[in-house]
Amino acid sequence: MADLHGHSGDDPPGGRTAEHGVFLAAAYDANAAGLYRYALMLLADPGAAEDAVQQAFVGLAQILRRGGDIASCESYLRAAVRHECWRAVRRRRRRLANVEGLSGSRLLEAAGGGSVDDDERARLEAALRSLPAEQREVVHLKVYEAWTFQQIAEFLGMSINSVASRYRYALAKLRRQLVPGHAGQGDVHEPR
Amino acid sequence: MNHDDGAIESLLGRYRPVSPPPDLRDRVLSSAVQTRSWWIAAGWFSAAAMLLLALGLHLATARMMQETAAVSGIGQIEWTAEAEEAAKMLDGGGAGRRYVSLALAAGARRHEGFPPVPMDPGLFGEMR
Repeated sequence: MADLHGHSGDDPPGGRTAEHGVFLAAAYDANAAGLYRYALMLLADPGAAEDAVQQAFVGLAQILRRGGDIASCESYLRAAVRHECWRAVRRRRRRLANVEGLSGSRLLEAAGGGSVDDDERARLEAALRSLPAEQREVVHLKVYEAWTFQQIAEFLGMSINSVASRYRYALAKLRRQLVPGHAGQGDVHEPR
Repeated sequence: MNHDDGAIESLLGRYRPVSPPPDLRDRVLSSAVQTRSWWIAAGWFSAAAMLLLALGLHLATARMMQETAAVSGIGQIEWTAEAEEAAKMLDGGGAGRRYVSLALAAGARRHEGFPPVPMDPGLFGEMR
């Protein structure tokens, strides 16, 4: 967790209005990159991901102004971004009937500054976009945040078995699209 | 988890979701501050609007009372919304106001034990 002017970004200042700006900046620096990546993976839309992160911080600022109590800034922001993401998903589903299959904006970059195979990246992005948002969320938390199934289940309010099934369905679908010779094999009914 | 799942996880692990754009930080932090400023400004704006409205109503009422007293030739009376309504029902002009003013003044004098206000015979010429 970053430390800026004495703020860790996780211990909200109690009633110190003048310090809220500094606290918000520290909270942003400590959490925003991870929150944005999570929102981007869930929404597959950079603009919507930015809006979700922005709304979460606006909500945090309002709570600070009211002198509200937040046990953990990181947990609050994670839950707030998730809430905003699912609001956006529901809006899109009502509007488009099918949120999946969005294309255009870049979703992935090389991990650790490695070189990028653009064709491979494009195929992987297309495969990820084809997943339901529910499966992309679990894949992100498991692969990119390195959470255990237990942690994901607690965060999502689901059973571990449901989370593990969702993850396996997601990997199976990715495999069918990415690995030659797997197309059509092992097709199963895929719940979200 | 089978071998194929491991291969997919390995493929996923070579990438990560892209980083937020650099300008998002300023946008997020300024929007949080702007929201605060907006709420403060909205509060002050509402208070100022209410103050102006109250001042305007007060000035309008005071002016109306002075005009009424001037045309009726009597002292200060309490010119209420009901009095204004009655004046409008009579003719909506100066004569109606004068009549209502005199009625109010006469009522006040009776209440205080004074004799009735002497009536000017030409006072209601406009009403005919």
